[in-house]
Amino acid sequence: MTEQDIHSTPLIELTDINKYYPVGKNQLHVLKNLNLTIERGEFLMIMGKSGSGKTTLMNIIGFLDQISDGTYQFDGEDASKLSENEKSKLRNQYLGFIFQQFFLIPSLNVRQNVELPMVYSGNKKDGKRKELANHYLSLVGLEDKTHVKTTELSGGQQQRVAIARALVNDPLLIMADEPTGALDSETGQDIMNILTELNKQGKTIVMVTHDNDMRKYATRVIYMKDGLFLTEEEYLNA
Amino acid sequence: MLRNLLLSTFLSLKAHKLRVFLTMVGIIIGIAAVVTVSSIGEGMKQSSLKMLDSTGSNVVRLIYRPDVDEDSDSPGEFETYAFSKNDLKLLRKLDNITTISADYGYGFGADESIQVSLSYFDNLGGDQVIANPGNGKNTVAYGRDFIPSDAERNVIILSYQTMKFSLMVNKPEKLIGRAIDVDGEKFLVVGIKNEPDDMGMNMDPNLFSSVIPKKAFNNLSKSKSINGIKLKVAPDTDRDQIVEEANEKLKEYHPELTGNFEEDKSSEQMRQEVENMIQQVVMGLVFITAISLLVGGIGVMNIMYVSVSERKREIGIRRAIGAKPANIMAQFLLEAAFITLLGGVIGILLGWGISQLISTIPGIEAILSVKMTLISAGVSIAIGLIFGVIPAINAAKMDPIKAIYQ
Ligand SMILES: Nc1ncnc2c1ncn2[C@@H]1O[C@H](COP(=O)(O)OP(=O)(O)O)[C@@H](O)[C@H]1O
Ligand SMILES: [Mg+2]
Repeated sequence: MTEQDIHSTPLIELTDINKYYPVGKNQLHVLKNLNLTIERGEFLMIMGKSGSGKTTLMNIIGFLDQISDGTYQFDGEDASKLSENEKSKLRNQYLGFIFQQFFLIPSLNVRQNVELPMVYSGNKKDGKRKELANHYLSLVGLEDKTHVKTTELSGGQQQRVAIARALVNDPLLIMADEPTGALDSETGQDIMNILTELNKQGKTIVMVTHDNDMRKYATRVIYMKDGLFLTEEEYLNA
Repeated sequence: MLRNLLLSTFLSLKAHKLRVFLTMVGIIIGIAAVVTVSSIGEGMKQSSLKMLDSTGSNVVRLIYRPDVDEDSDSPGEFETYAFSKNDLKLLRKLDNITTISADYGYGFGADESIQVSLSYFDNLGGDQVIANPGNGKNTVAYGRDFIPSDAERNVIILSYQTMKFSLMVNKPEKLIGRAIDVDGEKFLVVGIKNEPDDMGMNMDPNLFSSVIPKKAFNNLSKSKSINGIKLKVAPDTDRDQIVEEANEKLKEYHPELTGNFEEDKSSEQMRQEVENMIQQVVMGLVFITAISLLVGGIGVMNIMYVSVSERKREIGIRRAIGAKPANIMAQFLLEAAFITLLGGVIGILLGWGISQLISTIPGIEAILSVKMTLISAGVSIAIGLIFGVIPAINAAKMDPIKAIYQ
């Protein structure tokens, strides 16, 4: 394989995927025969109202949930039959998660939170881990908060810690599920500036939002409603 | 990895200090009880053995065992052998032997002893008599110890037991200064030894033997035959090898003997029996006490369930950033083991304190062995692992999204 071939493989390729959730005796059809390709270097925005299936789609891409049928190719490899350990490893090495509610671990301080993905990959010495954690914390402007408890930080600061945590293992893909949803618009702006800067430096980003104003940061936008992809007109007219 | 796991365990426990402590209480009490019982038991065992023979396992009693010929016409008749003073001299050439003494009787200890018959008026009895071992430093409770001028005289310091049960005298003062009959010779009673205390523990290894001066002892022993030779060996020597060498040496000089010189294991066996008996009693008590550890363990299990369900989201987050199920399991197992080990260490210290307190009661001794300490610590960790395993498996099996979004 040549360099060109490797890069011509899409990072994510979902083909005819469906997702059902059992609800009582019925099946809730949450994702309906979706096709989605994500290329390297994109900043893909998934727009949709609450309940449209965005988080479910993210969880599937992030190896946290399984598709009911269809195929999922991650970096050219079939991802449907991975073991728990393999999925854990992929999440650890190739993905970085950013959640609406930040989801830091309260018993650990800022730097320990950021070090955690490296602890689980287990391939770096203590000193190297600290150095990298400090590096990414200064990237998000928190170099002076390394030993602070996460509960003492503002929402915006916590989200920046989460971004640093998502970056430390140099992932192929950053997945952000409503990263600004719990922040005021000004702080949300800061977070979006960081994400856009990362994308400019080459990071692939998938972000979920219901806020139409966020579209300006994306390189591509897809629209979702009731488990289906819509066109821009369909979505805005709905 | 491990260091980080330890650190994060420590941090998450630190966040719940009071709860962790309350969980530990069961373990602390359980371990403290086990340590107290076993160290008192160990003390009891040690002092009983000390009483049986102060020189402990360092004495080899050599005897002659005739060759029993199965086809012999007269199976009842065995070749007998009495040792001579010359045999003692022969053995002096062997290495690793500190003292050699003739054994006229079947007494305990390393000192030379003879069995004698005593009488005082109408009361007769047997006694084990030894030659003044302390050179004028006997534990005398009534009367006095030997003085230099006693060396040439027939004087005796009686054991309390002999006074009371052989000579039937209840008040020591009545016997001091009186003459008694020892193997037909008159001996003046100058002192009486301590009464053994309630627990039967006393530092004097010869407490049950009466003592006479060396010269008088030699005179009495002349008419006795030497039944065995006591070899006091240097610590950590191979007893079997010493016995083997002694056998070779003696047989070289007595080619006519068909039997062998062997170690008399009977007192060793008795020692073993006493040791085993006490050991069993102590183990029984420890076992009963250990049941409280079970209760402690269940407390740990309970708290681990709480901890897992409280930290569902943390588990989900850790899984999302790459923790494998085994990492999650290890985290909770370590946490449980850490709680119980800490409880165990506190319990050991507490148990040690309590047993030290109890050992201020006269006659009770407490010995906390390194072995018992290590066992207690090991048991503590094991309790954490055993009772922590089911909650830890639950945590590891948790579905990451359900854990995160609850
Ligand atoms: N684990 C689940 N079991 C049953 N239904 C679920 C589950 N997760 C999500 N759903 C349902 O699937 C639909 C899509 O949810 P979600 O993907 O969270 O949407 P969004 O993120 O766009 O708000 C909703 O109707 C939701 O109730
Ligand atoms: Mg959602």
